[in-house]
Amino acid sequence: MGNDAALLYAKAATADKWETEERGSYDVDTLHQEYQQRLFSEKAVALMNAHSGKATE
Amino acid sequence: MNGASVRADMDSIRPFYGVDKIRVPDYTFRPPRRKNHRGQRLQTEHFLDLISRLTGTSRKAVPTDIVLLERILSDDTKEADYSEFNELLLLVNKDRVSRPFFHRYFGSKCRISQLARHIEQFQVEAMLRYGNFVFAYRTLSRIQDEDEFLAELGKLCTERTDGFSGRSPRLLEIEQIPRDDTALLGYLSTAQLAAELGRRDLLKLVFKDVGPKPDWSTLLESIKELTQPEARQPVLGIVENFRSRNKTATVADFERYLESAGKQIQLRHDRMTEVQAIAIRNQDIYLTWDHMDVYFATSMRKPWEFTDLYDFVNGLMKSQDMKDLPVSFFDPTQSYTKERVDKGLVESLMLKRASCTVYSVQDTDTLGKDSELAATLAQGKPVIAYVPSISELERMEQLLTNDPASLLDRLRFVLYADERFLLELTPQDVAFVEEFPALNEFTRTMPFRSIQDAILVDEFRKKYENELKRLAAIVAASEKRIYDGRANTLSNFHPLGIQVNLSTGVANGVLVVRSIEDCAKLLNRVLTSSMEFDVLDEKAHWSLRERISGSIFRVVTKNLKVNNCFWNFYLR
Repeated sequence: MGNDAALLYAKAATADKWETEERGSYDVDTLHQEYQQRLFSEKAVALMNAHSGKATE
Repeated sequence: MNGASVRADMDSIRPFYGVDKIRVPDYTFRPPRRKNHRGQRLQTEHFLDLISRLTGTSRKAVPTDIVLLERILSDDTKEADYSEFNELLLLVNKDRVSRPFFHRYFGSKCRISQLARHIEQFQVEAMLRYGNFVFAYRTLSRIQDEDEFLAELGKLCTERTDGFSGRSPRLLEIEQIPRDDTALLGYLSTAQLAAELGRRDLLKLVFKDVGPKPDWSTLLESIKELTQPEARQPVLGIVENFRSRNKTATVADFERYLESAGKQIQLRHDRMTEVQAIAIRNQDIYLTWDHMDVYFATSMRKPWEFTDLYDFVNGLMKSQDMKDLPVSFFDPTQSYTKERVDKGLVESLMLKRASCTVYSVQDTDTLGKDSELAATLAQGKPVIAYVPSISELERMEQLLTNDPASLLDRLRFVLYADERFLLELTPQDVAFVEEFPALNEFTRTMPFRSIQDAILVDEFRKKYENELKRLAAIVAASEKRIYDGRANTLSNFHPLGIQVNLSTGVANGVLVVRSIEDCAKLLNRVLTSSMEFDVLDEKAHWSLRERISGSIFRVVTKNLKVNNCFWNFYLR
């Protein structure tokens, strides 16, 4: 096993490269919204709006 | 000035930095037992060498000077006062020295046989203040006024602090963030939690979308419809991971799990918000403090890097040598800013304000940490580099207290940092590292990584106790190799281990320590201006080595070309 391969040894199935990107600001609530925009399809956004945002607690 | 006042003045200007405790291994002037011609010549040669060391310039005595010099040196019990010493200097064609100079380094009178010790006192201060013997001698030997002399020599040599007694108490103290919450200040943790909040929200929407009693395929189909393709896999991964850990689970079980995990994630978000708010206030308080003594340079991304630094800072500041000093220090595990630009500016300001930097060496180099080391050295301030000296057994025990995912993360880091990892392992250990899929699988199949299932972690620890011990031992041995290598590199090989004060040209070396106890002793000495040194005449340079660390603090090259060219750009 080479060192490079080892770095991939335990890559989590639930990780997104978005999480490790360098960014200028790290406000958790702003990032939460940013990730929703990355993750949610148009249908999900419509569904969320239909529930008046209660889906996000 | 009569003799009594000279003595009083001498007491008041006795050099600091432990120069009165300098070891003089080779240069002590020892008169030959028999006063034959050869012995006399050796005395003379030694004297000329010492004067050359004092002035930083080569010998200039001609044979007729030497004949006269031998006449004076034939009495090795002779004491030279200020006038007589200057006559000796002129005899060997060197510049005279001023009274303040003579008094500081030679007292009211100086026995010829003690000359080496006194000249070393000068060398220590010349290296501390100027990093240069010639310029130091030319500058200091010409100053006639005592106050002007001390002012020129500067605080580094003349000011001993007395435990910060003149300071007012701070108006505001920071609010201490507990050890296990410090990782919530990590940018990686923040981004990871933001993503997991988003996935939790999405899965909640999915259950609203699918209606009552859905089956797994309906659920997966809804996930596909509600997610954008580039971010879909991690959400599917949550379902897959849950099902792989709970083979007979139903969708209703998953919904209940999601409800519980979602609450834990929300609690973690709330605690993160709370801790970050405290850390932001702490940073504001740090910025207002009128004194800043110590800056801790570090790079923290992974959770364990926060707790490791927390343990180090607390161990250091509560140690016997530091606990009674009312030191103001900037602790990065207690401070936070959301903006990258502000973070850089705050750290730069702390580097400017702090009297010294303690550099916590970790298993990998980072641009930020190395820049902080360089910025401190370039300002002419001391840098103490703490490189842990690892006991493999103790370290293995510590590692076993980590959760399995962190242990695997540490394994990945040492694989990255330890070039000899595979070479040092037995074939059996290589196979073991490669074929310990249970840990990989356990980590890979965590549905949400920002929260942990304590029951599952305990079960895993019990089931794989021997394997975890073996892995911890492998990681501990690797960490030891990494840290020993980094200490050696920083002390002996790395060109950046000695850098130059950009204002003065004085070379400034990193002080490397391997234990918290030594770090505390040295930091105490740095902050109270009581460091002790040895002057060493090495092959290519003179070095001023700090005694606790054994590290080079100052250096003067013997390379004439480098020396001349270098100082032409700093002192002219």
